[in-house]
Amino acid sequence: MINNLLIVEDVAEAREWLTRIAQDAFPNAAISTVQTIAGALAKADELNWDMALIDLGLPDGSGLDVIRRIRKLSPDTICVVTTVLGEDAHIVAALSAGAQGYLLKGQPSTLIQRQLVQLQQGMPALSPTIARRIMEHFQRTGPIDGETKKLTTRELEVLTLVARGLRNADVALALGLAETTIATHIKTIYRKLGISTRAEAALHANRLGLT
Amino acid sequence: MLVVLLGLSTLAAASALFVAVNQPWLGVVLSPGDDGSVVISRVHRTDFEPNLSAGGRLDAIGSENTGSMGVSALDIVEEPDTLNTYDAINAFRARQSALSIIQNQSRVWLDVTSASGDAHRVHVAPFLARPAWSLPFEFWLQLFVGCGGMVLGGWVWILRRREAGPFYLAISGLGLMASALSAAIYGTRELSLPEELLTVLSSINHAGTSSFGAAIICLLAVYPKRIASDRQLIVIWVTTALATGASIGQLLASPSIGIYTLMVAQFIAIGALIAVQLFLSQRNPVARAALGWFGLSILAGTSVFVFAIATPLLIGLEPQASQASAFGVILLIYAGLALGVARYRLFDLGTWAFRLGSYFVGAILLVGLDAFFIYGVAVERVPAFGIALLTVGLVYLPIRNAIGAQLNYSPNLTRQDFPQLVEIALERAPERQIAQWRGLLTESLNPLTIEIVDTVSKAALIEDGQGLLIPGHLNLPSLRLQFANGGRRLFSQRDVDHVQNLVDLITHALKSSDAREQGVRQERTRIARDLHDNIGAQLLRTLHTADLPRKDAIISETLADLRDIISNAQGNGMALDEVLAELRYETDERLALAGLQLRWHYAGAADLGISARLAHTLRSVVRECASNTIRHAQATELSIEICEVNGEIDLVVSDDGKGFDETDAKPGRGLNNIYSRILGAGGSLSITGTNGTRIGARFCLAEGEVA
Repeated sequence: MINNLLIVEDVAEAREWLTRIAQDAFPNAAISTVQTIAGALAKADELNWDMALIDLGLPDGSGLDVIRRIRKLSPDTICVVTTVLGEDAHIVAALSAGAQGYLLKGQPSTLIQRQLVQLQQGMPALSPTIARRIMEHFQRTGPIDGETKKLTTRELEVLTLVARGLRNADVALALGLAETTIATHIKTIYRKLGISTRAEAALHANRLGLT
Repeated sequence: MLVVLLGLSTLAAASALFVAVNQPWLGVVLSPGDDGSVVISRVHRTDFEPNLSAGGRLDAIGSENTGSMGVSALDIVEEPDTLNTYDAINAFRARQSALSIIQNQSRVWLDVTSASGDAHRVHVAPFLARPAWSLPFEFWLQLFVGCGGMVLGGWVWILRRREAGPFYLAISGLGLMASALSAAIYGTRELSLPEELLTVLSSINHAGTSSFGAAIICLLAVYPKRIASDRQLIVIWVTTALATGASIGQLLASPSIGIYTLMVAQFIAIGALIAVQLFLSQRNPVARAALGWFGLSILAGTSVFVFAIATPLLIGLEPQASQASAFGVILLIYAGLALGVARYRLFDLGTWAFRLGSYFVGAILLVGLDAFFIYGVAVERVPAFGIALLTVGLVYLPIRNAIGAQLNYSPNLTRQDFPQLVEIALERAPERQIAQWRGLLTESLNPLTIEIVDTVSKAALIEDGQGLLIPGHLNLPSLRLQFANGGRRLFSQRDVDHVQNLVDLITHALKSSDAREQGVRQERTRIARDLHDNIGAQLLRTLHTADLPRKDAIISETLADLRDIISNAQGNGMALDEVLAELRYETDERLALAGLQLRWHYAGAADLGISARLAHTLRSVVRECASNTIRHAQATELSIEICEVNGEIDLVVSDDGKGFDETDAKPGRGLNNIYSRILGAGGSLSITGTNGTRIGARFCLAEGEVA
């Protein structure tokens, strides 16, 4: 259940629009809105949010910092990136910072509402483009220390199908698995993405002689 | 002119050959023995009696009409002018006359003592003429020197006929020819020449040598800088003529005073003039370089003397120098003079002078060390030479190279040049670019002046290395640099190579910079066009749409397009399969919301690139069709088939809905848009409404990339 939800968004119209959608998706939730990173960080310290919709490009900084703070303070919070253009690189960065999903603000309200509900039910959304970026990311990262950072064969299969444009339900059908299993795989991929990104950073630091 | 010159010298050579050949011929080669006797060193004829063979001694020659006459080494002396007194010379001439008369008889006898000591009288019939092949190497060498001097001097004069220097060079060439050709005839006679001929040849030789010296003096008096008036030059000629005449007329105390005093005086005068000219040309790099050739040629000539005389002496052989060899050396010197006057490659002289000079020093060192080891340390000859060679190789050559690197310092591309070149190439303001380029050139060559000139295609030397032309490129003008290193030296071929390197590099850098800028411009143009065609057109549509949901739909499409344009601008490009995957996902989500099934089929090559414009078209068509199906068709399933064959996309969108009445000629606004898009992309479109709606579109992939 989503009892409290934070919206970090600097454009007033978008803020109101998102608030309406969130209200429709979660009628019982208490919704707070902030316009700045500073405000969002303060809100993050205030209480453990069930869900946060965070815009990446804000006037006083990057939404990535907000995601990191929230994930650190309350790991159970579902962080969702909301963005207009959603440049691939930023989205992968956001996901590896701990975001569990992203929403393109250009999409129809009904679609966004549906995705929010699915996220709350533990079925993270993953678009084909992002699936591709994630695969590329893991290929680049390569096999580094420990098995946990590598994708399993099954996870790779899921990513590949998603990258071809199949929805979770279709992926489940194609692989003969339950849709919830697919969701679990995607969540694992997200988690590994975060780990592998940290490992990659560590690796870079090591190469540069910083550690 | 050149033809006349060549003709004249050939004629002179032919005359000399004619005179030399038209003498009676015994068919032997005579050389002086150790004890003043005459030795038969070779025999040219095969019809002799066996008693006459090489190695024997010729004691006397005689005939029926004249009687016998003894022969001595004095009779075959190469240069009679070396005799001490006029009496000796006149006696020599008288004997030559007598010998010549004997040689002219149809039958003569030779009194020969063979190597074993037996005396024989051998009868020989002299040939009327001497075959040309029997003439010794010395004859041909002097013939070559004579003609070579004439041609060289004459040629330079033809090239620079208005100048006094080349004129005197040509005169000296004439003198050299007269001297060398006459000496060639009498110096290589078999045994004798008629007295009159001998006297004439000797006089010609004498006059030629003197005028050669006088002409060189005059040359140095007017070149590179005139330091004597014509009147003074006439005095020189008159003095020379008087001295020569007195010598020929045997009016002086002895022949050596007449011949060698004049020669020494001339040498001293030449040396003094070179010194004066060097002093005067301190501020004139071209003149200095020309004088450099003079000095170099004299050095080269001297070094030949070292090898011809000093070296054989030290390794235990007789000196190989004769008057003929001396002429060879003179030609060398003379060629150097000619080069100096012709101002040929003066700019590279420094390098050559150092090379030749250093080899010369090396050779002297080698010979000196060898002598030191043999006579000073008493080492055997062969090991001594080895030690000397080793010492020169290990000690002298490295020093020589080090000095050479110092002397031949020339601008090379340095580490600092590269950032400077790149800066120049990236400088956008033309004036600053030119100023920086000139700065770089000034830094590396330090010229006195830099002027802008008309187009130059390659770096080149002008005015004997006083100037250097530098080609330009685009904004950079072609330049002319004058007087390298503040006028202290000439531009050299190395400078040309260096500058050409710089120009090539800067041209390359400028071209790269241009290409980059052009790339940036093209990219900007492409982005602008994409923005105009897609975003602009869609926003316009939005503006004129009253239908609110439709407005929203178009705006969300526009955002997707904007995303494409940005991702394209970041250089990621767009892959067809990626665009299709996104489209499939999005369509599937929309249909699922409306409770419809999607059947998706794609067949075609992987890794196809696609332009933003085409991606937009593809997306618009699929979205429009899906919207129509969702809104109007009452269908349960939408099928999308995309085939890519040979760069053509075949798109079929069909549903299982109610279709539409094909006779109703009022297509919706959406379909209208699809229509214009496909046609705009150069494609074709077909729509049927029976058994559900079926829309087929076909367009070319490449079109979007070209446009």
